[in-house]
Amino acid sequence: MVVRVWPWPNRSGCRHATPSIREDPVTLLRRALVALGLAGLVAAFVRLRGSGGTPPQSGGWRELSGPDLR
Amino acid sequence: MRVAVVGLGAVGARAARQLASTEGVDEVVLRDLDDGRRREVAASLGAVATPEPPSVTGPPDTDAVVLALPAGLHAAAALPLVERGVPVVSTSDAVVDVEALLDLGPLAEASGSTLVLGAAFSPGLTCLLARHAADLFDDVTEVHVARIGTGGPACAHQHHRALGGSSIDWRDGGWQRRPAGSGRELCWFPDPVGAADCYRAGLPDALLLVNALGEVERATARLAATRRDRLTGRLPMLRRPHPEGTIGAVRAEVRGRIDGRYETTVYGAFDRPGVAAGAVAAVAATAAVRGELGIPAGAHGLAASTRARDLLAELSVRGVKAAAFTG
Repeated sequence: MVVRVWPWPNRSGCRHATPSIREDPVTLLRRALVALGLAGLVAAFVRLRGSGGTPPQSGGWRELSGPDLR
Repeated sequence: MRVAVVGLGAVGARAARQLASTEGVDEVVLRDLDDGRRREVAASLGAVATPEPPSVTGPPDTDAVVLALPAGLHAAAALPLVERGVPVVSTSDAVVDVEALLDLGPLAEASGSTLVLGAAFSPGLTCLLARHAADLFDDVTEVHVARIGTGGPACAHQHHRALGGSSIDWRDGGWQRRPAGSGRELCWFPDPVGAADCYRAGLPDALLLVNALGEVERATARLAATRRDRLTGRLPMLRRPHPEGTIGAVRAEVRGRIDGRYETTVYGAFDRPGVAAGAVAAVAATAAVRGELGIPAGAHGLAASTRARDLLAELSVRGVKAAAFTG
């Protein structure tokens, strides 16, 4: 795979040079898989860690009537 | 009892309807610049309604007056009535109106008149809920109110303006102004409204709450808004507001000490904002004439009432039900 970056100043500051970066496709695939794996591990850690247990299962709004308003 | 309603928008028309169905109210005088609207409301109320044409320029000659005018007009309309000692109930939720009406307080006190400010959904119902909750406490430290929903077009305009200005919060003995649309807080309103993100906004509730409850540590008011509301709050309204909002809700959270323990009480209510505002205004007007409002002469919000519980009971009879959050 060839990735071209333009404009790209060379060492002398001139913009005529066009450097190219050659990357082995297998290496690129391996890196992508490692990144995905790490992201999955972080997500699993955050998901499994939890954030405070079960939310309240009781309570709510109760209409004010009778003794509340007398 | 004769009561006038000036301004027949969503709130004024509802207030007139509530007054017309109140025992002891013999006549409801209706004033609005729109001939068609005035006739329409008068026809729907029957014989108890007396529409007055715009050619009648003097202040209404009645036992009490409900002002349901657009924002910015309330102080000028209230002044001649306060000078005559007539009880006035203003439904405005605009900071500019509430500040101007609070300035009429000494005059109202001198004339023995009761000038009720912000007698609508929020402020108004929120003030009653906050006062009812505050009465449970030995020492109130914080009061926080929030609202979701709008009434008629004027209320929608006011909602838009409120998100374009700055909020007025009371904190540690002083007023603080913060940009509207900031300070997001997830507020839980009575079912079926549920949770909504609420933000600081140009609301007068804190002015009235501190005026009534004394120097609490914190008093804030928040308004539910969408991302689009906040984004366009500082622009002109991009489209015409709806004729009537859907169901809305208010909540009042009071914190303080009871028997040395730190406690929190949350009261709320839901209804169509225009309907609830009309009911609050009508109940305040009739209670003012009967001397059952529990508010001294001068300019005060409903949080100053020593009879908030009775007023909430009367509102409950009229279908505006309050609720307490438990759990």
